[in-house]
Parts: sequence; structure tokens; C-alpha cells
Amino acid sequence: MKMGYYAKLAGSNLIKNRRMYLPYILTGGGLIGVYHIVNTLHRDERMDAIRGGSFLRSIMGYGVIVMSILAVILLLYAGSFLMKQRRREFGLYHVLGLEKRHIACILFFETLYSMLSSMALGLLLGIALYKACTLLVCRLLQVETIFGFYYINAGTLLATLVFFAALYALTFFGNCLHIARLKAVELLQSAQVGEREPKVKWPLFIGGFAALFGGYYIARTVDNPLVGISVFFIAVILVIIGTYLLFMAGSIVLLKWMKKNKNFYYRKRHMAAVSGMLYRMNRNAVGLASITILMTSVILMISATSSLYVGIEDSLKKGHPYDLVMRYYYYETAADGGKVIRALPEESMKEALETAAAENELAVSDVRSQRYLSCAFLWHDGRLTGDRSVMDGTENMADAMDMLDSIAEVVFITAEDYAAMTGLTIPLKNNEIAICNLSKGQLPTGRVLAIDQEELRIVKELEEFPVDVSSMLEVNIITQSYGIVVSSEEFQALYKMQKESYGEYASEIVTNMLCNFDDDSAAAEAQDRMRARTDELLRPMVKEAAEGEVVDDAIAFYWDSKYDTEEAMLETNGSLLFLGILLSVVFLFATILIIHYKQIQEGYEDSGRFKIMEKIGMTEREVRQTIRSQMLWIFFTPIAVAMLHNIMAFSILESMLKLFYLQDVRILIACMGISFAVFLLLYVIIYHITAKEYYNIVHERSVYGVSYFDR
Amino acid sequence: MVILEVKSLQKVYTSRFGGASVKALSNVSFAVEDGEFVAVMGESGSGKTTLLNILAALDRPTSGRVVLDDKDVSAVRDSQMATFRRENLGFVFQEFNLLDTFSNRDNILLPLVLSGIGVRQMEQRIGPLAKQLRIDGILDKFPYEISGGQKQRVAIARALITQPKLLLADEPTGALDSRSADDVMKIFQGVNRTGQTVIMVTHSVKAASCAERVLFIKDGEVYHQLYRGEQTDEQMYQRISDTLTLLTTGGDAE
Repeated sequence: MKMGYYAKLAGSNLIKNRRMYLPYILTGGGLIGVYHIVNTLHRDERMDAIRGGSFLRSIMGYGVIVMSILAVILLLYAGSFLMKQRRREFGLYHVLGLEKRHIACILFFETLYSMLSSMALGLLLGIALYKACTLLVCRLLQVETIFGFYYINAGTLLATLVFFAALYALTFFGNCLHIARLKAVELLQSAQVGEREPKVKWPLFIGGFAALFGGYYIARTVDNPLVGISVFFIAVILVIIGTYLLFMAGSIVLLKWMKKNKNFYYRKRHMAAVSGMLYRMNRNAVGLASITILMTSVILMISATSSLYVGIEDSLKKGHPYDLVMRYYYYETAADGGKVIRALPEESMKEALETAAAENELAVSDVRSQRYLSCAFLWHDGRLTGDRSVMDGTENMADAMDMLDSIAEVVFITAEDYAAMTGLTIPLKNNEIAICNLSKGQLPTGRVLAIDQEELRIVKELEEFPVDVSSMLEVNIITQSYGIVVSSEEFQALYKMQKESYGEYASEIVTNMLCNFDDDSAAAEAQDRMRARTDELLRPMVKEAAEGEVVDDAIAFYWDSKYDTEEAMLETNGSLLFLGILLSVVFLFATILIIHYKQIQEGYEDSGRFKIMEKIGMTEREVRQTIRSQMLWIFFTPIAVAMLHNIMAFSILESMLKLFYLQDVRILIACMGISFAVFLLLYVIIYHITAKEYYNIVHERSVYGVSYFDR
Repeated sequence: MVILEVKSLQKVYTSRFGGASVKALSNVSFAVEDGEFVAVMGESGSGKTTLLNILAALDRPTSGRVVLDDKDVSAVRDSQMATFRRENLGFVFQEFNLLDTFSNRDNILLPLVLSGIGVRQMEQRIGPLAKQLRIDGILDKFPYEISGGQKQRVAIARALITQPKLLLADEPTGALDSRSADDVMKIFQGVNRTGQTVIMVTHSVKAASCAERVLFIKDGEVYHQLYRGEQTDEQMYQRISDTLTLLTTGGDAE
């Protein structure tokens, strides 16, 4: 009987406070839904059957962890927010004779109701959208959908429910503790007890500036992605610290400055907004900074993952000028008893490739060979050197990292090969070269490039270099790389020279076979068979080609097709993009919830103020304008700062994405721009909803208190 | 010269579904001379709050007219109402209604800001007014840092800064201790002496005894009025309390 009364009271409380509880239940539902989807994807064994599915499952494992952390933070935050807003209500119950345990009883039912509604909503969403998500996954990974419709796994379902039930229980106990600690009088007291106008905290302001600009400086100046990753975290932490400090101290400096500027401040649109924000900034700063960080990470996350995904095609095109690159090496004993590495003759490789293609009914074109020599030198005293003694001084990591910047990767090809690949002839004498700068590094000053004792005269600078260097990971890390065309004699001379300098670490001349397939999809499908057949055809040729004795089983078969790379990229980048989308949606939810609650809270606080302002002659329109100008600041400062953060993070992001073979910056720019536009659009919608809600709160209170002299 | 004329005001409240109707004002007529200080007294439910709401242009009468400085208040359009109030009327409330996000200076300047008046003119106006009300030392403090009496003086300054034709006060001493109340009433008398017309609704005999004329309202009608003439505050006090006794015991006035 009594319990029934509490249960009923709790129900009507939720309806009465629906302005706060509806977002709470929706957020709970959203979190449960997404958590369930991520968790199911993680545990769905059917995923292993599709290409890239097992990678996606393992990635979703991380997704579950992130989601759990986020769910804990958001639900506890929302729970404590609701408690704070309802203090007076509970105080009233207390005065009316309900004891704290009775209030706890009501709280119990309220928590139960909101939990059950969130769970119902969440599971409905989770189960209904799971199918949509698997479809999306299949589309992103570009595999055919093999699943049936709905998939419900009792174990996963239970795990989700138990996790969230525990969370709600935690919220409930936290709230009980909150109620237990409060005194009756305190419960009744309204929240506002003359908050002081905040003072400018100069040390925080200066510290914030230093941290932010330190972070920005690092982000803007580091262009070596390997150094970048370790330094990136320092930059991120500095920017986060800077954001918090500047929102805490910088906002106050700015608002005080606005206030000092009388012609600006004493305008009806600015006065109430500026002083209102200043008054509340102590409390608001942390919330605004958190929103900024959340937004920054959403935009970074989604633009990084989407540009990686969108960039697949482009980086395939650039990374694979030819559909297939193949080489075949074997080791044989040399005259002096050592081992030497040898490539199979080009004609043999070409023959094997064409045979294998014909057998698989694939049409091949542009079958050709390519030879190049790729070696690393150090810039030292204005010349490139392979002298190992220069390097021997570096023993610790830090020195080695420094040295990374002075390493230059040089790729040599002969003028004959260049002509064969491009159709352009460059007449070169023995000490003459044509050079192509493949990186952002500096070209040597003057017209002479010195490599150890060789003095090479630069006769031509090239815009493009025909050797596919981007597929070599080193080139992406090393900041300086050059492609150089030399005469055949010079090519051999350089080979010998580096052989002498580097000894056993010396590079070998690489002989590649290249070809294109006419039918991409057929070629993709037949890759594995092609590869196996080519190997089969080439293996007996080693014996024929060998001059000395072949070292048993020491065969290096390198097969790099566009199609294999594409599959691998779709697998990783598709999975990452999917995770990025899911997490962005959830982060977006979080941002929206926090900002919405913040505005509701302010609406309740401000309603009294606007009532007073209406009493002394502010029109309804002016109230609306003031509200709008105040809300515009609160809403759009975080997004503006988030945008700035993203712009500053751009170059470091770009160099990190290079590690994942993102070639074209424009893709990143476009993806970031689009993510930003979409985010802004959603944000504007939320702004309008929240502004309306806020206005209703302010307005309905003054409508009810229609009489000016009413008490 | 008559600045405010109230002609046979009637206000009937009808409940939303057309049920019972309540007559808050049945027939109220009076006139206020420019520079007069009028107190309105009456019990709870006598209709004085309704009267004040109508004078404040917040509520419209069922019939009758309010003419302020030759302008019919009931003819002012709804959209112009807030501006009309801001330009013609000053308000002082029992609960001060100061904004704690504003310094006292900004609280006083707010009506001018709403009217779009320039910074220089604001500064010209606030200086002498603050001196007159003895709040020039606390202008840069915040409402929560000063006493109740000081708050009410700041509120009076806010009401006066627009140089209103009429100053309306609703129980201005209701939330104050007796010393601050006396102080505030002195301020009202002083403001009145400079030529400001004041209408004050009050329960307090002490407060009413500072006025030049006291209107008594009972059951929605002006029941009686007293003029100060040459009498002192104390004599006025005595007459007001005698009238109130009569009013409540139901006898006929004088």
C-alpha cells in the first residue's frame, strides 16, 4: 500500500520533471543501444566469416572499453545533475514529513523507472539497429552481406543489462548518499547564495596561454610522424590543460575587458549577457572546456577515420602506379665462398607472369621491368655521406631521433629505365644527374650534389619520379627523400661505392617486374592463384639461372598487388571508420546532453532575473534577444575553439596519417571540412531546441507570476 | 495640474470556464496632482494590488480609464506597453528586485540601457541621484554585499533614473527593519519634495503617515481619504490608525 504510494509519486515526479528526465532517459537509451551494438559486434562469431571481420571484432573490443568509461561518466554526471536540480523539491518533501528513507524510497522507484525505460529503449534501438550496423560494416569493408536479419545473443544481452543495472544502482546509492548528507534547511534553500564576481587569476591565464601555445607550437612544428607520435601526446595534454585554464581565467579576462568597454557593455543586448556569463563563469568554465575537448576529439576522430577510408583509392593509385609489383630473388654461393643475392633474369619473370595470367584468363598489359637502387645517407657538412663513423657517435635514442631528421633516402634509377617508364629521354653524362625532390626536405644548394667522393652535377629537376617510392614505409618517416636519374655507368659506380661504405648493410639493386591488369575485379579475385602459380613457374628457373650453387630454400618472393593492399586497407580503415562513426555519435550525444542540461539549469536560475528585467521595462522581444546573445556565446565559443584546435592539429594529424598511407592532404581537408559542417548543422539544431526550451522555462515562470506586485 | 486621473475603474475577474466572477474593483475614481505623495491603504483583498497593476499598465480595467499626463493608458498598444512603462513609470518593490549579477551601478543604469541612452548621459544622471540617495559610496558593490535599506535606496535610484512621471511603490518598507524603513520613508519624502509624484501602496501606518494624502480602499471602492494639511507625521499617524479602526470595525467614516 505504502510502497504503491511511493511508486505512484515517483511516476508523477518523472512526468513533472520531464524536461530533465526525458533527455536523461534518451541518453540512457542511446548509451545502452550503442553499447549493446558494440558489444554484440565484438562477440558475434559470424563476423569472422567475412573478410576483415575478425579485425573489426578486435577493434570493437576497444570500443567496449571506451563506451563503458563514457557510460559511467555520463550517467553519473546526469544523475548528480538531476539531484542538484531537485534539492528544493526533496527539501519540501522533508518539511512535509517524509523522512530521508522515504525520499530514498521515491528515488528508488524513480531510478527504477528511468532505468527500465532506458533499457527498453536501448534494447529496442540496439536490436533494431544492429542489422543496420552490420550492413554498414559490410558496406565499409566492401564485402557481401551474408547475415540473416536479426541477431540476438542472450549472453551479450545479459552482459549489457547487468552492466547498466550496476551503473544505475551506483547512481541510486550516490543519490541516497547525497540526500543523507543534506540538512533539511539546506534542502529548502535555493541554490543561489550570492556568488561573488570572479577575480582575474593572472597566473592561471598566463599558464593557460603558455600551455596552449606550447601545444600549438609543438603541433605546428613537428613534421616527423615518428617523433610526432611521442610528442603528440605532450601536445594534446598541453592543449587540454591550456583549454581548461583559458576557459577558467581567459574567459574572465575577456568578459571583464568587455565590461570595461562602456560603449560596448551598456547596450541592451550585451549588458545582461556579459554580466550573467561573468557571474557564472566560475562554474561554467570547466563545463565549457569539457565540451570543447569533446568536440575537438569528435571532429579529429571522424575526420581522421573518414579521410583514411576515403583516401584508400587515392593512395592505391599513388602507391601503386602499376597493379602489380613483383620480384624474385635467390641466394647462391659466390666464388669467394660467401652468399650473394641474385634476381632472376627479367625475361624469365616476364614469361612466368604472362603464363600465369593467361592460365587464369587475365589480360595483362604494360609488363615491364624496373631497376632501382635505394639507399640512405646522412647529411653531413653539406654533403651526403655513407660514412658509418658519423653515425657511430649516436648511442641513445634521443640522438638517434635527432639524426632521423638528417637522414636522406635516395632512390637511383638509370636514364634507360626512366626513358622506358616515362617515354622521356634525358641525356646524361657520367657525373650528371636529374633530381626529383620526393619530400618536403631541402634540395642541396647550388647545382652540385655531393655523395661521399662523387660530385654530381644537377642538370635537371624533375616534377615526378616513376618509381613507386610511397609504398616504402621509410620514405614516409624520413623527412628527406630524393629520386635521382643517372647514367648506367654512374648507377653501377654508386652501387659499388655504397657497397664499400656499408658492407653487409649495403643495399642491393632491386629488379621489379611491373604489370597492369585489364579487368580489376577478375584480377582481384584471382590474386592468390596468380601468386601461387607464378611461384610454381619461377622456382625451377632458379636452378637454370644460377651460376654458383643455390642456397637451399633461400628464395625471396615479393608480390605486392594493388588488390591485396586494397583489401588490407579496407579491413583496417573500414573498421576504424566504423568505430569512429559509433564513437562520434556517442560523443555527440554526450556533448548535447551536457550543454542541454547546462542551459536548462541556467534557465531556471535566470527565470527570476528575467522576471525582474521584465518588471523594470524589458520587452518580451528584448528578453528573447538577450537570451539569444547569451546562448550564442555559450554555445558557439566551444565550437570555435574546437575548430581552432583542429586547425592547429592539422599538420601533426596529416603527418601521422601518412603512416597509414594517406597521400593527399586535400582528402583530409575535405573530410575535416565536411565533418565540421555536419557537426555544426547538428549543433545549430540542438541550439534551437535548447534555446526554445530555455525560453519556455524563463517565460512560463514570468507568465505564471503575471502580476508585478504579486507575491 | 492633474497628472493622473482614474475614472470609475472597474475590474472583474472571470474564471477561465466562465464560472464565478469576482469583482476586484467596483468603482474607483480619484485624481493625483503633479508633485503629490499619495498613500493607498486597504486590507488584503481590498483591491489595492489590482489597482496598482492597472496603474502600472500591467493589467487592463474591465471598464473605466486611467489617464496619465493627458494620455489614456488603456489606449497604449500591447507592443508599446513595456516601453510606455519604462518611459513613464518608476517602480519600487517590497523585495527590491535587484539583479545580483549586476553591480549596484549597473542595476540603476539598466532601464537607461534598455532605452538605448548613451553612456555619457547615463553618467551625468547617476552622479547627482546617487548623492541625493546617499549611495554614491556603494555603487560598485553588488546587491548581496549591502544592507536592506541600502538595497531599497538603490532600487529607488533605479526607479528614478528614467525621470518618470509617476513613481509607484509597493510596500517599500515591507522587507525592512524599522530604522531602515524610516530611512527609506525620509528618502521618499525628500524625493517628493523635489517635485516627484509618488503613489505608494502600504499596510504600514508609519509609512502612510509620511504621505500628504491617504486613500483607503475597501471592497473595491475608495472608501475614504485623508489630507495631511498642516499636520505633523505624528498627528497624521493618529488619524490614519483611527480611520483604520473604523474601517475594520465597519462604522461610517467621520
